[in-house]
Amino acid sequence: MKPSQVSVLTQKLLLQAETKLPRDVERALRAALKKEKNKLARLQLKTILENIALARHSRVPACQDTGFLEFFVEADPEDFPAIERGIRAGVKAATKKIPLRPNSVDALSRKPLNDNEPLIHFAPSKKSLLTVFVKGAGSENATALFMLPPTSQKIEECVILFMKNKAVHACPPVFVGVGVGGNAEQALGLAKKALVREGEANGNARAARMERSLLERINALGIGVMGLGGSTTALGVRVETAPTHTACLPVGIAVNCWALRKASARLE
Amino acid sequence: MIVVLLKTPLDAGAVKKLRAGDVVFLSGVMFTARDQATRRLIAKSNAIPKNSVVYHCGPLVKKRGGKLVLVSAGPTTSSRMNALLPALIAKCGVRAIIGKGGVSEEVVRAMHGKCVYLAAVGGAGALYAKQLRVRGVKWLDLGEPEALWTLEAKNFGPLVVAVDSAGKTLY
Repeated sequence: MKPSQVSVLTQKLLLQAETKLPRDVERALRAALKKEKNKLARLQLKTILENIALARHSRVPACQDTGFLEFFVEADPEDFPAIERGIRAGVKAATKKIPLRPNSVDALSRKPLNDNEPLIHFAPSKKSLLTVFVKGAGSENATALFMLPPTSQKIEECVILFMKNKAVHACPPVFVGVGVGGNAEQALGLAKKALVREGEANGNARAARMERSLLERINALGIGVMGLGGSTTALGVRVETAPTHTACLPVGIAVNCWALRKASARLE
Repeated sequence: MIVVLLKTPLDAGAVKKLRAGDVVFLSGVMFTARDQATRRLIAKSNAIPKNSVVYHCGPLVKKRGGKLVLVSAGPTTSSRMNALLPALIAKCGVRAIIGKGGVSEEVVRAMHGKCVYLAAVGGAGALYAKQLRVRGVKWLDLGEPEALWTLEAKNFGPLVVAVDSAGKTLY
């Protein structure tokens, strides 16, 4: 695996994620517009759809917050160092060429780094797959971890209460990822993974029931597009689970704005 | 749905006529200021004229032939600036704040009788960039997203009056 090839692929995937919203996201927005009765929500949904078409056609980022750049590498561990070099070079080049907003700053001094610092996850695999996941800060700030008592029957209530307070700031209509189980960090990781996997069906019947119930309940909150009212608050909810400790019930919640930006390709 | 065409600078009269739920298209000069620039503006309030419009936006820009061109320029989350906005309104005499997600009750009170909050559609950066032009930039030491950009708007919208000057809010 050559870093230069990975760099080219990284740039291609970033351009795709930033400028071409997945078709299923667009379909979900159109379906919401069909059902929505609130005039201001309808006006805003139409504006969002117009923006998606314009971004795709003009090849410019749909949103000025070109996001945290998160990469998931599934490949032979021998190739990890070359892949990492390729991704870093690709991010630098894409930041200039597409362009992407230079979002990274020093965490304590807040001094701008005038660049983007990617976050790369490596998993050994025979697949040879690279996935980019781009997430704006408005929705990243709507992230939470709750350590519930193991006997709690209130996982859904916990998610609903959180959405009631935070959804408005995360550019609704949103996608919601819920991670139940594992330890603390695993629950948050599962919530993020749920967003990356949004669109796939959950095989677990109990988790699938929770997804349907949460979607209905979040949309009944009346928060609406950008918090200005209506019945379109969430476009999708996905739950991921993992075995946990008998004394733990971690619930991680990750929220994504309507612009669910991701792209995948084989690493050749 | 009432649609209003507004031109900057805005005076108190123009602002008081706007009602929560009205849809606005704005033309004229405005300034971007988010977390860092808002903090600096409170200390250097003469950096923008009185009666200004402040846009919560960290634009994505590129250089084309030596000129700065907007690529994508939608709103950012206003609530991050909640603690700073009452001082900004008082010191700079801001007439309208454009952003997304709304502001705290304290900010709504600070806006009373003199300022409105206009909600832009989050994520619609490519579309809004077409309606805006860069007129100048200051404080680039804060980084591109946090700098104070002077933008010229031509029918910038749709924007929704989400909090009016009488304190009525849609949130």
